[in-house]
Amino acid sequence: MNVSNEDARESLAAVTETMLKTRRAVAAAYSSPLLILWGLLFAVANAVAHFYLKYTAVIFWTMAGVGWLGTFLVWWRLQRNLPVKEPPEEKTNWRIWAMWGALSIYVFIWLNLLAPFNGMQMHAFIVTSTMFGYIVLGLWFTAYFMVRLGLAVTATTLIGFYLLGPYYCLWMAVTAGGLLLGTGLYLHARWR
Amino acid sequence: MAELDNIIHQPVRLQIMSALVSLNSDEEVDFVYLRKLLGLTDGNLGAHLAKLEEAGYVKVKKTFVARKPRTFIITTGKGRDAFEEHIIALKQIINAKKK
Repeated sequence: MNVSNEDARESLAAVTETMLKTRRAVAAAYSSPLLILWGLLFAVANAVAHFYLKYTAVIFWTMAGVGWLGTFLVWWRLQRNLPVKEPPEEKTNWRIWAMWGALSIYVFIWLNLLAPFNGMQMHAFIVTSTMFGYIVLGLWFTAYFMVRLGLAVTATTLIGFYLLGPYYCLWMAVTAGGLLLGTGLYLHARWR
Repeated sequence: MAELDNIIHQPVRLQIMSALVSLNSDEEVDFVYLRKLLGLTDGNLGAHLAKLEEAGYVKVKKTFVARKPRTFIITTGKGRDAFEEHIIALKQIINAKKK
């Protein structure tokens, strides 16, 4: 079989492009609906909390409830239309749920040990812990956009926490909510 | 010296194998998803998959998910080895011309 140098180069370039495109498409199929859901909820909840400080507990509990219900529905739908199927013994889904469960218990315990604290401290602790989960997931599945997103939201949280005081929630709505939503929409539009 | 693989070198089959090899070796990809991802028609993808299956490079599995028929494709060990050798051969051609 005779293949010229130029043909070999073109073939290799096509291989690299297809492999990257496939990895991205699979990653986006799983993560983009969840990022859009949580980004939207996070932006709305924080924006509303800024104007109705008295009701922050209700606002954030509602956000968490709707978010988890939505996450379950997205996960359920994905199970029926999975683009990629792994052998049942791998149990990756179970491991992901277990990781989030373990992290939630960890956060809950530390919130109780650290009490009393103010709302902003609690908010920043929960957000940065969740972003820690994103970073772990990103490293676990070599989905580095998750690592970058986790670091970016952590950075914006710290900026808001230390520098913006009364505008913290509004800042978080725009930056953190925007980053989650923007990433989700970008993955949906460009990677899927 | 690694050798080029006639079956894999065909552009569409090279694309199919690249997509399949980029997943874990025990992961299966949905036929419709793969067709959309690579921008192929049903017939085109089906014909090239048949060639790859004939060579023992992929397995096509028909199953039911939520009472709907679904087709999943997975690479075999032989397919992954052949693909790897083909890539090495391509790199050797490029490197040989450099020298």
